[in-house]
Amino acid sequence: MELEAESEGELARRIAGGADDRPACEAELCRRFLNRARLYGLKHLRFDVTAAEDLSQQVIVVLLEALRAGRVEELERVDRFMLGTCRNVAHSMRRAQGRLDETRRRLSSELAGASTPPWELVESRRVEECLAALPPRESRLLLLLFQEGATAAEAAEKLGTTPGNVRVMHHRAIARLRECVGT
Amino acid sequence: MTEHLSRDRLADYLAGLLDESENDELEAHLFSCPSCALESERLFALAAAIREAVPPVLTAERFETLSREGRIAEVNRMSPGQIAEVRFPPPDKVLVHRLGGSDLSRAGRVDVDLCDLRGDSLLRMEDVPFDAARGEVLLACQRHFAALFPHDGMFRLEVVTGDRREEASRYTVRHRL
Repeated sequence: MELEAESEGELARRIAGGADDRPACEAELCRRFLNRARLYGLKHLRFDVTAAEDLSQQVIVVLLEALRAGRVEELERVDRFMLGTCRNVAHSMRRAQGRLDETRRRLSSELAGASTPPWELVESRRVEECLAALPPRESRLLLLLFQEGATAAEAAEKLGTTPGNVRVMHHRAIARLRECVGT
Repeated sequence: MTEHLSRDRLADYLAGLLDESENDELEAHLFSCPSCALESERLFALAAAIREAVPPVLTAERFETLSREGRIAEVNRMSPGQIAEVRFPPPDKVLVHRLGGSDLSRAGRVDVDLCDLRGDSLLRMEDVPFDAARGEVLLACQRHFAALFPHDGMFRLEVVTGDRREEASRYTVRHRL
């Protein structure tokens, strides 16, 4: 309970310093950063939840190993180390299209699982129903942007509007969808 | 970036509407701000679900992606007036009704009306994606539709050109579990 009040920098310092409560600090830091790494993985690995999970576990393991070995220079800004590691791991995963090997998976699974993955927060079938209930142009826009990777200009051309209006439509569509899904 | 992220900004990020430097700035904030990271989780989840969603009418691009991912159980090619009997797909797969042979060359818009066998409308889908050159509309049928709609139904394609609306074709499908 008391660790929840500590800053991420303080937790990092205790892990790096080999404090008596290091395992608890590691678990707390893992809990805080796991979903941020999952979110990064979702965005940068084409919303593939398996790849995002792999990335998050790999990043957490790299972070803990680096802290234990004293390789994180700015302990107060451990978030920057996390983001940099996410970038590196995502880059290598995109290049190799690889998956976490079994050893890493086993090691990381002992530390991970501390929080619900973000992709479990909405019910996918409900999202499909709500997408179908949106005004057709808004639904089409969301599918263009999220499934076909269209830019604002490309989506504007397909929908016969302007890139500026695409942004407005997009915000409105997301707000409607959130309301319908209840998220 | 010191102030918290707005939902619109985050939605633009997820949709790929920000440039690289804006992405970097937003990500640095997300990693340093636990409350924004927590707040954003549901929006990320929504984005992931949109990306995976199978809409009732598919674009050619979405059809290709689903094919590549091995998610198409069967493609039911149909001509106007045809009656087909098909099985609902397994829960994680999609059955695609390829409604072809319609003259959609002058269509400004195509609507699809799902009717029961008496012709009473059950679900209307307006302004759907269509292939004008092929005269084709791709409907995605999923297992859970079995609990939502009568298993025997008719799809009516309507072409809208300016103020004029006319039925282009109809296709009858009998679904079996």
